Amino acid sequence: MAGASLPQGKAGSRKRDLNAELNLVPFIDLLSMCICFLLITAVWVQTGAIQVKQTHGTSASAAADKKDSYEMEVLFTGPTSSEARRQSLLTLKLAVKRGGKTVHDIKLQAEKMDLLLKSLDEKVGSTLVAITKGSKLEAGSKPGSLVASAIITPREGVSYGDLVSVMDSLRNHDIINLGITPGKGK
Amino acid sequence: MQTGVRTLPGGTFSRHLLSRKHRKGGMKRAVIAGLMLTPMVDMFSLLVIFLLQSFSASPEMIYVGKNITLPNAVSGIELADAAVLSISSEGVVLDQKSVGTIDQVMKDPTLLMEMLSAQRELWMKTHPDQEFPGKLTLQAHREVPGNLVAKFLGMLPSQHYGTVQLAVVTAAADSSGGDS
Repeated sequence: MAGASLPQGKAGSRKRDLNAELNLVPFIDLLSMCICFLLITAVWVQTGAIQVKQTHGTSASAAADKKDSYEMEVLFTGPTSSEARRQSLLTLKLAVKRGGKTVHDIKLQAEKMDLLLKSLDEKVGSTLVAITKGSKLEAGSKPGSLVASAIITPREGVSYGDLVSVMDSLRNHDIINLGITPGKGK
Repeated sequence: MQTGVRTLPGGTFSRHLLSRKHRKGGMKRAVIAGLMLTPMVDMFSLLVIFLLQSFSASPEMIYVGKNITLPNAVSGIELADAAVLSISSEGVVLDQKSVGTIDQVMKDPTLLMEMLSAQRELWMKTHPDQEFPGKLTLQAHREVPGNLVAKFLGMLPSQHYGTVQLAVVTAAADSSGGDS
């Protein structure tokens, strides 16, 4: 390693050597301790939450009583349902209501759950655009805020993962108040 | 260092002679290997930098059971501290206390209701001047029937648990791996 050292001056007076040695052993110890600590405290999986508000006697139901608000109902079956086995198709029904009256009634069908979820995502987006045109949206508000609550009813053959995917899709469109009701029959 | 009769000083030339001896098969292979510290320190530094990027100071709010694979979601919010109800093929567990199998709980949910009520009363005793928030965290395996989860959710409002957080695995928003 190249270094510079000043020539000695008068007898008895030595200039300080500019070369410095780096002790690697304590440095490696420090790095090893850092790595051990960080490996122990590392968070590899981020857990989050999707909030569900039960729509009976809560603030969500109170919000739904507003005249200008919409309610959304999602009803769908899963891959193992008898209907899916009979028709080889999964069905999802999306209904948008206002003041108790159905404004939009959409039926989606697909062969696979991921295709069904994709078409649901597109349909929710286009439906929100449609209801935004007919309603007064406050400045700075998102179209999803027009929907006071969305109730999801999983029917036969729907797994919890698929149910969460539907809720996630609705949340992506800023529909915050979500409720789940158990399906009756098939 | 000795080769034959003469003693040679250590250095490049002696290593050259050693390698010649190895090629001729005249000596056993030296067992001492040098440790290269420079690439090792480089590797350690890169590891520390990578782990610092994924470091998160916030604690894990829930312990996910080994038999539970949480569903994925993109729009998950931060998990708040609340009692945890776990549903898996092994049974129903409330705050690390077993309630029973799924069939047992569906037939007779009395024990679950009593445990939820006890949780609520304990909270109200420890927070006398505050209103009970009614929050509960529900974690279930992704393959559990959705209808079953819906039935469990239907039971909770009777014990004043109006807000349920469904635990999900969220995709990291950025490379820093901070709180979701």
